[in-house]
Amino acid sequence: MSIEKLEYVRIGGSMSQLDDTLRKCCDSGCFHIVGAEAKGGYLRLREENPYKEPLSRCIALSSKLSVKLEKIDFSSLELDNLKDIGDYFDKAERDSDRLYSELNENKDLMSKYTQALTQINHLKSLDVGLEKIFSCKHISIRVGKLPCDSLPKLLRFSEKPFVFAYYDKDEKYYWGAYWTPSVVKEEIDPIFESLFFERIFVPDYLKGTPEAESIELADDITACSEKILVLESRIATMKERESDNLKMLFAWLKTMHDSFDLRRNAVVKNETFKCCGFVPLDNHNSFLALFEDDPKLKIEMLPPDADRRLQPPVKLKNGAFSRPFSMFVEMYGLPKYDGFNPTAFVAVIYTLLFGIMFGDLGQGLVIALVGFFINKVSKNSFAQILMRIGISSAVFGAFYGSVFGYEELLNPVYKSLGFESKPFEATENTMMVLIGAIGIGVVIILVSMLLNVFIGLRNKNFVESVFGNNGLVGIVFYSALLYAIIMTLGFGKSVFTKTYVCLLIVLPLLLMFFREPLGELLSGRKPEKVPIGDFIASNFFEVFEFFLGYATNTLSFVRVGGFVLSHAGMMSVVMLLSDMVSKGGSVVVVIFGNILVMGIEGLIVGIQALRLQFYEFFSRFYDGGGEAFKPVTIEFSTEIE
Amino acid sequence: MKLNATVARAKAMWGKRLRAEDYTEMLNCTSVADVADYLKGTAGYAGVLAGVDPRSVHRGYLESILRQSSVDRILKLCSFQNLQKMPFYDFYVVEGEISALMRFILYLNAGSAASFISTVPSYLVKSASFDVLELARSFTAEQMFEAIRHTPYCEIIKKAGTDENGRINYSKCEIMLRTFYLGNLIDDVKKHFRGRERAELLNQLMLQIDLINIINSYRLKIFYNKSAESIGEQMLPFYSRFGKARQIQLFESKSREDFETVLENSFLGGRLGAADGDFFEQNVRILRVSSAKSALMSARGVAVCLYSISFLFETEVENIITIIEGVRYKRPADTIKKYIVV
Repeated sequence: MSIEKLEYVRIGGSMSQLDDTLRKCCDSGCFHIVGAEAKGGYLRLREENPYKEPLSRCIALSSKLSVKLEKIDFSSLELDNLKDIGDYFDKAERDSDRLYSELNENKDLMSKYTQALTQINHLKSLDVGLEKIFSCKHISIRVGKLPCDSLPKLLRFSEKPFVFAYYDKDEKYYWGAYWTPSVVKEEIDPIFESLFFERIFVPDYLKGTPEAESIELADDITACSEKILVLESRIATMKERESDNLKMLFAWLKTMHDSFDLRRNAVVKNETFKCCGFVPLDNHNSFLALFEDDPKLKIEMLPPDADRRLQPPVKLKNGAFSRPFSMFVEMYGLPKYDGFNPTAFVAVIYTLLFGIMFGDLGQGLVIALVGFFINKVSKNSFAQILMRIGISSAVFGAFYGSVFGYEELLNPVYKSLGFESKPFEATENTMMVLIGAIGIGVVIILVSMLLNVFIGLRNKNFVESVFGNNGLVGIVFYSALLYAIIMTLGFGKSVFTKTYVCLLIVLPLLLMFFREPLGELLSGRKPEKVPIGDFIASNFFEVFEFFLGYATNTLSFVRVGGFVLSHAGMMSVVMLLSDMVSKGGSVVVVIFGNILVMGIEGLIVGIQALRLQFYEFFSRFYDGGGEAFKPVTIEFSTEIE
Repeated sequence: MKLNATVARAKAMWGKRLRAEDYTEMLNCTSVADVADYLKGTAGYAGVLAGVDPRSVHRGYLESILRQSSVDRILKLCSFQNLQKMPFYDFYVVEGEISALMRFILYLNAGSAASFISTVPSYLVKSASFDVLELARSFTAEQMFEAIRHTPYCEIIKKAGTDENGRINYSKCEIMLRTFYLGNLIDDVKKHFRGRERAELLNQLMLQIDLINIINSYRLKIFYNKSAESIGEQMLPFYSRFGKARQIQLFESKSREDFETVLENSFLGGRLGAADGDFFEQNVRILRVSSAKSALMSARGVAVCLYSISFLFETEVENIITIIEGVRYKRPADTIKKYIVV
């Protein structure tokens, strides 16, 4: 539960060794490269990657032909020099461009015809030939659509001689036409063009009435769609022919490109180079061993803060149980290199909260099994989390005596163990469940406050660690208030003596009110000057908000108890429904009911447990801002830097 | 004020962003219609482009809808918990007003004020502090001042003065308006936010200012070879970790290499990565985007979240427009890609 210790590595050698060195760094799988500092006459290497252009062409062509690129063996690739590869792409691109441009032309034509048909359909009630309308000598008519946003802007040109009328409107456009005297159309057309009026050209050959011409347009559309089908089948043939070649070319070009690309992180001077990065301390020997056969190479292993320009990257070090939960920490933001790794706390709290809220032996085991199988197919953190929380759910389910909603099924087991009945019946102990949930919340909140104190003192941030609402003063206030409430409500004994109130309630509140100037003074700095009115107003409301925060954050954990009860409630509904149907139907209802509860409630509980972590736990002590440790490697993705 | 719901909603919205693979697909499109068609199939833009026919849509209108969408998303987030009337949260309207005024001055100086109307985003017609349509009807500086007479911009633009040809001094005006905008924003942050949220917001704002100044000084130094004094006059007058002394050192650098070395030795050095001559400005944009991304991901306060996501939405739309323009002018995918910031 810490952050992996790193070393800063500086490598120097002659230019002839550069490519080989970088490839070895890639192979090591543990080298996080950073840009070397250009000083002392060293200059950054600025050169074009010769593999970039053919690689981009390969990706573009494959995307055009919908060929899925991946890492494959390229040993049987016949093309092995950039000139031949360039010639191959020239030809393939020419062929595909021709096909696609023909396809696009036909698609555009079809779109034009379709729009003309839409427009003419709007004019169907007109009993005049189109030729007559468009051949007016002194009036020009433009049919089309105007974006809704542009209509008010037409007011800007209200003094100009045109009329715009629309006969239909949808979400984005007014469909209509504008009329203008032909002598000024050169002036009016640009106005509409600037307001994004999309003209719809009614083909010249449509001369008859809209009714008659719409039939002709429908025929044109059919002819166009047939042509499109032919072209699409020719493209599919080309894809089949070029697929293997493109995949092999991609794998080879990507390997060459990525290793060459690392050169830009190096600096050079007089045929020598320098590059640098970070390596985990644990990999010290294995990393150095890679370069043993090259004694001329100078490798310095230094402390991680050796280069003041750089903030070391972060690699979380977690135990086997907590490792998959680092996904949640990354989701929130990694800690800084000298920060605190909270993954172990996350793992324990999340697993416990999920188990408590979703306690069912049968359903828990199903979730664990689902996680196990997903993890088998594709190793992923989420599946591993499912396994852990599934087991937790099963353990708490055994405690509650619940198996797929059957609340009495485990009774013989408990009896054989010497119990009279199940250890805990949630629905009969509602208050205990809710108070217990709040108790869990109090413990989590106090742990997070203690962590905040620990981290704050380590960073000498006295405002947060001593005087803040989550600092020492906050802990005193919160604990004192809780103790007083428990004693008063639980045991009927008031502890609110003058000394208690003054020392443990009022004094902490005052210290919180003055936390910023006090913290600054404790750090030996001069407090920032703030107008007194502003200071009082803002701190009053902030302290008030802290006070409310303690209450709301604590009560927020009532949901833990709420879900214990809702799970029991939902399963009792499933059982009730199963009793209402026949015996065969009953099995179906129980199975579907369980699937539904696992799907819906499992998801909600998972989200709520995460919400409690992020908002009630993390927000008290945790700061992100770290950069992830990413070892250099060849990525067979279609993204090029 | 606890506005966690808006933060969660903003982060969910960010989840619908375009990924690197989406950009690759769009870069491989052969026409603007194909790009629009692809966008229509993405989670983030399907709703925005509903009702638009990719084959016939006017390219200008497509760009206008996309630009509008980035503001609409912020408006939606702000109205979720009624933030729009609170101090600071109108930053995108003020920014839009200033950009519209700058565009108008540009058109006015070029003698084509009539063209301004097509660039006016529809949200400004409704929410700007002045009548944008009245501004669009202006043909002279006097008419413009009349249209914005009730706003603080009027005095600021007047103060910027005119050049020897009677045209409004565009660059001075830009610096003064941006100084006004950023100064007000910083004041709002100092006045209305405390603790970590205030620090995060100031950090974002100061980084933005530093990067604007660095890009501007780079252009003035490298492309126009201006003197240190003249560059200094054209900078935004705010100083943070990249202090005044370091700025002067930057302005006095003798060559591109010197300039880059000064930067490398500053706190930005490690974060700017390998300075790459022609793509220096691109590196600076990448840094700003990555800083906004990390601020968004670790944001607990809604203001930091909205300020960062607003910039990220804008960048996403700029990326799409870059692709549209590149595809329109038949530029190779590789060339367009250099200008995309993911």
